[in-house]
Amino acid sequence: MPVVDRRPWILLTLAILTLVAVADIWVGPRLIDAFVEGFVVQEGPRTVLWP
Amino acid sequence: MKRPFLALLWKELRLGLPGWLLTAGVMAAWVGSLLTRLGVWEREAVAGLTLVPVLVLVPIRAFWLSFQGIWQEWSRSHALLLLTLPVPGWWITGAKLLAVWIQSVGHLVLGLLGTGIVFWVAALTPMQQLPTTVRPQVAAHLLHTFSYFILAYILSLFLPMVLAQFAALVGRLAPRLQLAAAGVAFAVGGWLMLRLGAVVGVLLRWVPEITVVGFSYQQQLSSLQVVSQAYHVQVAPALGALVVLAGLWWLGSYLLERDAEV
Repeated sequence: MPVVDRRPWILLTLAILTLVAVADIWVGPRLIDAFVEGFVVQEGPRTVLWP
Repeated sequence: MKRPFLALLWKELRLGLPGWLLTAGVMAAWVGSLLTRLGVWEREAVAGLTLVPVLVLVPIRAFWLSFQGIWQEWSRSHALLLLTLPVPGWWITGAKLLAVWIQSVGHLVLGLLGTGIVFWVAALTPMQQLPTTVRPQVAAHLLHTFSYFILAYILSLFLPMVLAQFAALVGRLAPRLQLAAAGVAFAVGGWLMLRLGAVVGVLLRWVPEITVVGFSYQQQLSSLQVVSQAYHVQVAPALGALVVLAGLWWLGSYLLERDAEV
């Protein structure tokens, strides 16, 4: 069974992912905003405890 | 969990002890220096500043140790020994992560203790302005919300740790420009976490939201009014990010086991 050096594939994958990430950040929805938007915060009941 | 994992974890904890003690000393010195500011600065500000090491130093240290934990194995040529161990890759990466996490949680406890000491020395009683009848209710809600913050903190520690470890593993696989490759892997890992985390978060929307309660009190003419306000927070994106981080950790462990060469 031939010995396969996987390193080039790992680095190639990293390079491709980098290009995809750059393209995504360039044209896609704003990265942080799209993530933070998921944290939907809804105001619940407001209660007067005192007096 | 099998014994070899515990042995690995114990080894990492033992190696990290001097650094942990050093950081604990720095934290103690920080609190000590802040105690001298009582009476000079606002008491509340001094109490708040006690948390700076927990919020800044501990996460940075966790990041650095997670990165170095992998990086130095190659620098010191220990990786050969590590990789010949008859254990899965995730035991090695997991033990390293868990050790740093345990140390960080230890520092969190120390940091909170420091805050408590400042509260005690400064005779700060956070609810002294509230009527005694509402104090138990407010205290219960504050404790509830505080426990969520603690949970969020100890889980979010995994963010810098996993990204750093993943970056170090990918960097070490690069035939050249290893540090640059690690930097790129860190950025790509962060991007994956945010983008995929949002996607996975959509799939996890069925997870119940959490409710935190905030309080405000205001003096109205001659009477004090105490108001509580509930907030329902959707935690699915955070869980999505954690799932992606777990995936990156698995991927890093897989790379270590299958592809790492010394």
